Amino acid sequence: MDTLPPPSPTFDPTIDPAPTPPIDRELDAFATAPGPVAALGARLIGTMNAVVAGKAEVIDVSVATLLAGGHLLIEDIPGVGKTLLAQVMARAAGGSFHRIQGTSDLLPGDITGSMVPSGRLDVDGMRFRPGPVFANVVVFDELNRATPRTQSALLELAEEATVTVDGVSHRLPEPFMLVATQNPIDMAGTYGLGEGALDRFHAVVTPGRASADAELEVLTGRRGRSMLDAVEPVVTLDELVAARAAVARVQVSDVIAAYVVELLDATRRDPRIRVGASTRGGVAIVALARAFAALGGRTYVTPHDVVRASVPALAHRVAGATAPVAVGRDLAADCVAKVPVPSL
Amino acid sequence: MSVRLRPLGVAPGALAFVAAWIVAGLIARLTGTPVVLALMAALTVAVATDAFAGASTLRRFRVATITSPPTATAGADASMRVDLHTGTRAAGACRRDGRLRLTDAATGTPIGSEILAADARHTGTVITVRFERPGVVRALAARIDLPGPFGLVWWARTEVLEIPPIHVAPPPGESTVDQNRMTTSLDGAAPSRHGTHLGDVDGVRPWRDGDPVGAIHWTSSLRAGDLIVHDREATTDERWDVDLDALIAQADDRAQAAARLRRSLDDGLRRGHDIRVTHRGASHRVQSDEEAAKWAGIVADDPETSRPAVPFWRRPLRLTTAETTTNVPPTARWATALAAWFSLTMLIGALAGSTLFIAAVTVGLAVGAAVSLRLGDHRPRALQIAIAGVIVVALGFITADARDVTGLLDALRGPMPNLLVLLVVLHGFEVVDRRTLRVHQAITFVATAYAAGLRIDDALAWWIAGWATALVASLVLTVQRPRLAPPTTGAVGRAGLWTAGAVTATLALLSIVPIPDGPARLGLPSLSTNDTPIDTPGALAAPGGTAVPAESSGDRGRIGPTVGYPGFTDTLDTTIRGDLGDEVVMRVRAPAPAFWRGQTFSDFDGRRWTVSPDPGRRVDGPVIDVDPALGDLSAEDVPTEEFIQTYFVETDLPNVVFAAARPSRVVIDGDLWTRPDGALRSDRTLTPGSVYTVVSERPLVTAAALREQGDLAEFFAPFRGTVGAEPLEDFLAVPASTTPRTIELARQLRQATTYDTILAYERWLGENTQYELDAPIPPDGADAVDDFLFESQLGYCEQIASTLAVMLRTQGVPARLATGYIPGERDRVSGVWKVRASDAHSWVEVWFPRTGWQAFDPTAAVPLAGETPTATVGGDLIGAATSSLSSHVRELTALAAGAVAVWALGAVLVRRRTRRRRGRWGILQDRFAMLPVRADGSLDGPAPGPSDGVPVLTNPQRAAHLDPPEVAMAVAATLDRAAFDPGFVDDDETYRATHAAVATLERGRR
Repeated sequence: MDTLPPPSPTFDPTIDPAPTPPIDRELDAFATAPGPVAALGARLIGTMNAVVAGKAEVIDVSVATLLAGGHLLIEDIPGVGKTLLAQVMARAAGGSFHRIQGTSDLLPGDITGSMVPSGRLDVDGMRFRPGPVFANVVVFDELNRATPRTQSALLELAEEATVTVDGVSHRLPEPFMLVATQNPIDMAGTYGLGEGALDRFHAVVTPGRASADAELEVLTGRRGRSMLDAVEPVVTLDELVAARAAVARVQVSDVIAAYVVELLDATRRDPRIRVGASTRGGVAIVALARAFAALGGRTYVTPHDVVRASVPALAHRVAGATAPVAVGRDLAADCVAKVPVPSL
Repeated sequence: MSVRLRPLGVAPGALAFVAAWIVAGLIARLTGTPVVLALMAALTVAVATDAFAGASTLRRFRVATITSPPTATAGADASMRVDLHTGTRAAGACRRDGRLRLTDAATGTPIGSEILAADARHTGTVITVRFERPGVVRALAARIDLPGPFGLVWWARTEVLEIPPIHVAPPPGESTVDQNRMTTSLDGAAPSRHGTHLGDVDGVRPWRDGDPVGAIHWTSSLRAGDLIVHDREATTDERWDVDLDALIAQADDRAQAAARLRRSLDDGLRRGHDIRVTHRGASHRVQSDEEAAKWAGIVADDPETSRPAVPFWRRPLRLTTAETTTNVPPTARWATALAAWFSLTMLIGALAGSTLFIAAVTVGLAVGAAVSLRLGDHRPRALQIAIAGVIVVALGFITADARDVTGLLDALRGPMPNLLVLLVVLHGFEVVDRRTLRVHQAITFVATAYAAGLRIDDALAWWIAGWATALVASLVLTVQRPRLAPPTTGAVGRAGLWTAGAVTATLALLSIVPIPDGPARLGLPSLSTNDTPIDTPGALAAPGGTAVPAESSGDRGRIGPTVGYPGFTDTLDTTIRGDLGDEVVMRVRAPAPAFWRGQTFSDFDGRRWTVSPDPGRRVDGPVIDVDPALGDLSAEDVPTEEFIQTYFVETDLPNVVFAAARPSRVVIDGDLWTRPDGALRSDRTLTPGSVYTVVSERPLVTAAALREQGDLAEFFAPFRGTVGAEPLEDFLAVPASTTPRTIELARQLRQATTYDTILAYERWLGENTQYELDAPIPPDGADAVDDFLFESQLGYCEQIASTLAVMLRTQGVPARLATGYIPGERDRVSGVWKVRASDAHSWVEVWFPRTGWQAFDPTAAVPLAGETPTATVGGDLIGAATSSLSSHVRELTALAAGAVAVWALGAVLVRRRTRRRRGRWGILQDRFAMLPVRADGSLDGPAPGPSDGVPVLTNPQRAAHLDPPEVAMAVAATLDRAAFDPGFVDDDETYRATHAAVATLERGRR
């Protein structure tokens, strides 16, 4: 049974059916069986793996976040393929792709777009020129270099999937996904994300350094950025939207929901964690677990999906604003290890 | 990581059991009851078991992990999570009351404690801790206190665990005292704030003016709300001077000033500064924590803290330890009341108390238990006064009643047990906490030992078993928390093993304890319920007090019910047999079997033995020293033993006082006629309830000692016919009717030594005559011995003994006939010989000059005194157990079969219930989860609980470690589908396939 609502109202046809494109006969398959989602996911993951070397788990989480309709935070040192990961996902998904570089003088208007004069100002008036955020996949590099003002504007619109300028709302394209990156070590001149801001990301991944073999492949050009141009879209946007709808329909039993609640409780009871995970964290776990279940070709969530989803969904929430995500990953894994896994 | 296991002490009130043990020892000494020794041994073993089991549990009980916060503030609460590893074997340990204490390993300051929860194994215990002083804590000492299963002996296991450092920040706004600081760098140069080398980080402290920004510890600052900086070891020599006199003079609140001083001194000590305080003009160096505490105490004007620490050997000895709670669980209280009921009923039964008394005690105990439970630890003064008043009044009555108490048994039987019963009942009202509960339990032990010392009936073992069960239950229930999960089968099995071990240890201990040789000399029991003296002093009297009919009708079996046995009359006609019933005549408490001799006869006319007419000397009781009669004395170099017997009369008996040969002292109510033939007669008949004690001087005769005395005829020949040898002639007189063939037979069978002669006679009788209670009466005028030997060849003890006596006399060996009782049947629990009317007997006594009169009897197997095997309490108990087992083989087999059947039925029911509860897929899941997985090379067997330090595995994770992986993965997927897919259809084919796959995996692991 569905015990939790789908992650975002945008993807719920009962609330806002308008942006959902008419489902043709091929897309019907998504509505009835999990197989197409798994196949779609396999295509995406395969494509991404062909480019990004040795990051299978990170790619799995990224694709799951995409299918869960969430936003992704990539935190790691420079040069480990954060941006490449986002770019190849955008290309493979076949949507539009914009990239924003975070700086301290970036203003909210710079990303949302603004009203500009159109032709003759007195006749045509002002028209809205969309900012870089109007794309299916938006990569925001070095999010913590932007000012808190810009950060919160970005996160607000990412949550609402709507940009409001001069009192007029503009819907972001469907599907929409924000991928933000940040660098945990170079802290001078940055504005660390507050706990509230972090909470809006469904998942966080830390790719880490590639293995020696993977590095060899990157250096010889068999993988890596040089292959990016060769990536062709493997899914259509319509398929992606249908897949998201299918993921939202994945069944979550009460036992699983209770398990997630236990996990959240474990983070709240751990003395090392200042503030435990929020309910939104639980929602994120369930959404990611649904996506993992669908990627596994199932219409129901198993505890294994929850375990896989928990660490990326909880790491940034338990680490707090001051500690690196890597610490949070350990804490989250510790909490997961302390909760008994439900079974039959 | 260091671990230390040490005994912590005993629980409050447990020392009462030591006192009870000592009192029981006194009772054993006074009464000589083996079962009291058994009780003492059982208590010893129970306490030892408690200690060993507690230590053994704690050895398997360890702190797995401590999850601690990275920072904390001194004086403020923080929380820590402690996960315990109990293993699967110690799961039951948590069911006991226990305590976990955390201390800072470096300073030994306690930081928090928590009562161990039973579910600690599953979720870990979150403990609220509080650090008193700032600094860095790198190691914690976790101490687990746990009692043994009976809750008497506590153990502590201390384990020092390294933890990630906890930075304890000082509380905000903490002030210190003024110090006069002098800083010198190592090379003696002038102090400089800048450019000095920074030492290693050594904790945190509040920000002070001039601290560099880089030193700020942001995490702590965020927590504390103030700026906190890393504290660094100083590489310069810094000297602080604190003027205590000024501090004391200026202080408004000396306690506060002391706290500030303490903080300052700690601060300086931690950094290794040279700290001095000026007190009354003199400067003192402060080098240790204790010294800092001392100076703070002086400032606070607190004599306790300013006194130097007392070394442990001068501290008062404290044996008891505090418990986690003093609360008495109702189940334990009622079990204690039941134990008290058992012991008091036993005691009242020993006193022959009325049913009304027992009913009153029952009601008193129940009301006491209910009232004490209801009151809790609130004791109204009125109740205390009322109880004290009742005790005083009762004491007054008892004192008034006990004025004429003379014998110990009077006191032991009369006022003391009544007082004890009253005290136990009243103490029941006062049981408000665990200490008083244990005292109450210990009192029931005393009452039980008391009753066991007095009681001589057969049901003692059952009463004691009932009491012991109730007591053990109450002990265990006191420290067990019943609402927690029921014990596992493993825990039950281990408890069974411990019990079996404890029983074995008790028996082993008892098997080296000899059976006590009787009551202590300080008060031998005697009691008479009959005040009526008999008609003719010194004569025999039938139970009614009248003279015994001298003659019988000459008909066998017709002596009449008054005496029961002709051996207890003046004349023993061998042609008359008593009308012996089967009822218990008396019970004799004695450490070894012996003939309980009543009379001796020396005058025989061929058919009839007659007692000597000399009534002897009358001696006043109750303590009577009996002079040896002729032939009683043994040579000085023959070892003797003191053999104490207490006779408990159960039915009406004549005034014959029974005694094992040779009585030296008799304790009896009333006077005694000590006869020259060695027999003893009381001045009154013995009625049921009468008790008397005989101390016998028993030569330890062995066969060798008898044989080496050679042929007695040769020894006595020189004395015959001399002046003054008339008494000897009495024992050698051969009746005129003795036939020549009798003499001829005696001569033919004669051996080199008299002992061998007697054995030869006995052998001959055994081969040529038959024991027959219905032997025919010899014809009138015929010699009874001749008739028995050569005509009827049928007879019983009188015939056999008379024949032996006559045959020996013909050969010049002095012999006489003795009558009395054979030892009877021994009750191995109470150590009492149960003598029945049918145990009446006669035997022959032969005068061995070196060892005295020696009893011989071919029918009753009473060993020689020197050859009696030494019995032990344990051996007796084992014998009692094996004999009762072997006599009930069929019932026990049926019981065992029934138990097996019940167990099998239970197993089937449990299996069916599991199947119904878990469903067939649930059982498959359980089997899958039981497959041993080797993850990280550490896990073998079912995945343990999360607090055991090993992550719990999901089905696919488990499958990844199984072989073959693809089969395991498929099983995991199917099981997850069955569990979590709402659309799962349970079809038999899938089930069969999965079942087969699980079976494959199980085979693969074996």
